[in-house]
Amino acid sequence: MFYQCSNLQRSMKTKSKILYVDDEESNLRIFKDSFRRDFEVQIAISAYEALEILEQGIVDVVITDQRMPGMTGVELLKEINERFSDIPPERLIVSGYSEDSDIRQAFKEYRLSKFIPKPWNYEDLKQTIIEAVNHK
Amino acid sequence: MKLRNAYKYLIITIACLLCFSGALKAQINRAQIIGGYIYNFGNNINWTSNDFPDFKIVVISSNADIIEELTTMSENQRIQNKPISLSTFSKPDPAIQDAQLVFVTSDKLSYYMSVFDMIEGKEILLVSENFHNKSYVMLNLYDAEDERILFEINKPNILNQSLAMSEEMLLMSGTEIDIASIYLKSQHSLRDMEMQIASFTDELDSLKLDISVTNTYVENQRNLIRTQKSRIDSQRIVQEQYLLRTTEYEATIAEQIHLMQTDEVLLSHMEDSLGRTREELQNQNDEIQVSKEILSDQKIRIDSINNEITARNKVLSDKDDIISKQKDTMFLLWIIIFISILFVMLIFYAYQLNRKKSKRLKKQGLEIKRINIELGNNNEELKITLDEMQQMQQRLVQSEKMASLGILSAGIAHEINNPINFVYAGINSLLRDFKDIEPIIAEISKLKPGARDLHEKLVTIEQLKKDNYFEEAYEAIPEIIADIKLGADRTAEIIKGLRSFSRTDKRELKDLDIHEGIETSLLLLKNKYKKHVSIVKDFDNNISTIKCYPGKINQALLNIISNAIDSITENGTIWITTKMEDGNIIISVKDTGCGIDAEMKGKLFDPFYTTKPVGQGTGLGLSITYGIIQEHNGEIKVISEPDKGSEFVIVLPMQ
Repeated sequence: MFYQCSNLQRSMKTKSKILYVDDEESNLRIFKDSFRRDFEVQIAISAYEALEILEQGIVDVVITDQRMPGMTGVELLKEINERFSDIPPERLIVSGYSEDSDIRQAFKEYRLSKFIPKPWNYEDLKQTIIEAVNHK
Repeated sequence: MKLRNAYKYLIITIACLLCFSGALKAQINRAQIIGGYIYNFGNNINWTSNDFPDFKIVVISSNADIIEELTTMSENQRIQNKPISLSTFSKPDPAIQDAQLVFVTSDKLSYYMSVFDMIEGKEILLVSENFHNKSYVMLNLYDAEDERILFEINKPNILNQSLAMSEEMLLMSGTEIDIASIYLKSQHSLRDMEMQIASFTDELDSLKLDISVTNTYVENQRNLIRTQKSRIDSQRIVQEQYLLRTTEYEATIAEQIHLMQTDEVLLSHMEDSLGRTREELQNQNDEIQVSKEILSDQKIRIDSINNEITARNKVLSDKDDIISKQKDTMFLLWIIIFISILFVMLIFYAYQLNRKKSKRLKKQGLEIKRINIELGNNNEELKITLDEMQQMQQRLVQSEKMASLGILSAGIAHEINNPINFVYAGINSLLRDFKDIEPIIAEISKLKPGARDLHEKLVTIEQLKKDNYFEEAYEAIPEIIADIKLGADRTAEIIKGLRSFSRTDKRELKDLDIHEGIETSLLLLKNKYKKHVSIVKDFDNNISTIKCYPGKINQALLNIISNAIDSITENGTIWITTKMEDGNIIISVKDTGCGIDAEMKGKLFDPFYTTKPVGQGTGLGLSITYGIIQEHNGEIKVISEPDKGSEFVIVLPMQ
């Protein structure tokens, strides 16, 4: 079944562009390896790097970790909201802990669509990403 | 006509003053000049009450020329437009008090002062001739050295008489007497007088003293005389008494002489009777002799009887002695008996007292036993309470730890969930990779050496590789495995840290690497600081382990570092330094946070003091940290400056 699915994706030829931001290299690697068959995955080790990537080209979905040194996930979303207001990517936040008042604010103001707790499940996250892509 | 006469006088006067300066010495001329002066005085002085009918002039003089001249003038002239009435006296007369002008000539100057006194204060002008005491002068005519006749005026005296003086008076060669000098002179004389009076008073005082002395002396003398007199009087009385007594004696003597005479007669009678009595006495003597002999016999007998009595007496006295001795012994015995009774009573009383005491003691003993039991109970209760309190404290410390853990849990959860994500997502990823390469491996495993379709099979495998992203998977697999391992390791590490942090030390000292403790705390706090704080560590690697309660020390380190992180709101730095000094480990945690003001500094280690909002801090962190460091005989110091940062320094002994 999985095999078929990947074939299906492949048949679509154009994969959705996903940007994943996390300060942990392992997370980036695992994410990329998990979804490389399904999406065109771009990764950034920090919010700053993510913004640089976004400058170069539009992505379909942005998934970011919340707690990162320098700029947090919510701050990144705020930045995206300000800089790329005309073509907004779907936003997702991945975090180890949900009780963050910043995140609640992000839902209201920075068009955050979903919060994904760590550790994530491949199938669920994939489903969420597909929904986000279609929602766009 | 009369007016012309008046002018004539004036002309004469002026002529006298100006031309006849001493050339004419005739007495008549002098009298005329004086007359002229008087006339002019009368006209140039103003009397206030100008209602007198005629102008009365009184002359006190014996100078016939002057009197004659004035008489002539009074008959022919008018003064103040009034006729002149002149009266002459040789001495002061009451009539002068009615006059307007009194003239005392030089021969009557002895009366001047009495005249002055009589008219003083009345509207009468007094004119004198050659009067020397200028103080009492009103108008004084005097002979000048160049034989001119001049006059002097004492204005105050004239004014004193309520008389006014015209200015022309001075034109008539009058001079005003220098009042000031007079005043001075009079002051001098007054002073002299005062001095004189003072000396007189002194003299008087001394005389008074003399008199009083003399008086007392006289009084004494008088008293002496009085006492002498009274003595003489008393002696006189005594003498009279003597006289009286002498006459009495004389009378008695006469009587006695008379009695003696009668006695003499009686004596002769008595002599006779005496002779008779002598004989009787002789007889009686003989009788007495006989009686004496009888008496001596009886005496002998009495003596023998006496001897007997004395012997008996002796026996009696011996018996008496014995009796008295027996009495003494009896008395002694009584005393002994009394004392012994007293003693017995005393013993009995003491016994009674003792019994009471022992009873009381018994009672007290019981009471003490009861109290002891109670105390024991109390002690036990206390022990239980103490135990409870210790447990409470233990629990409090523990709960603070748990509370801070709770606060940390957000960070810790993230910190754990991250590595768990490595493992969880990694395994899934690895599984898919394996599924990708699984058919390839299966194909490869089917390959046998020397097979005919070997080439075809290799082509199939190559196709499968392409289809299943073999290269990617092949590359990814070792990475994912490493990540999974990393995740597992990190999770294990955090759990270890949490365990070492949360364990309750059961009163036993263990070795702790202080750097490991710091790392554990940093690990637990990582999520709290990694956003905005950079940690700079400077560890002294020579520091070996220390003996301590590791859970507690970790708790203290976590609290201190956690506070440092909390103090930094924007971006900041925390320096964690360790070093050895005099056998102590010194751990410094320095931040660039908000700092602590002086007021906060005092309360910093107070329990339940917190600056954090409710639910975010227990307020026990630093107070428990303080307790922990003290328990390890260590020290904790705070150096802080508001808005610049704080430095917490922990000094821990190695042992």
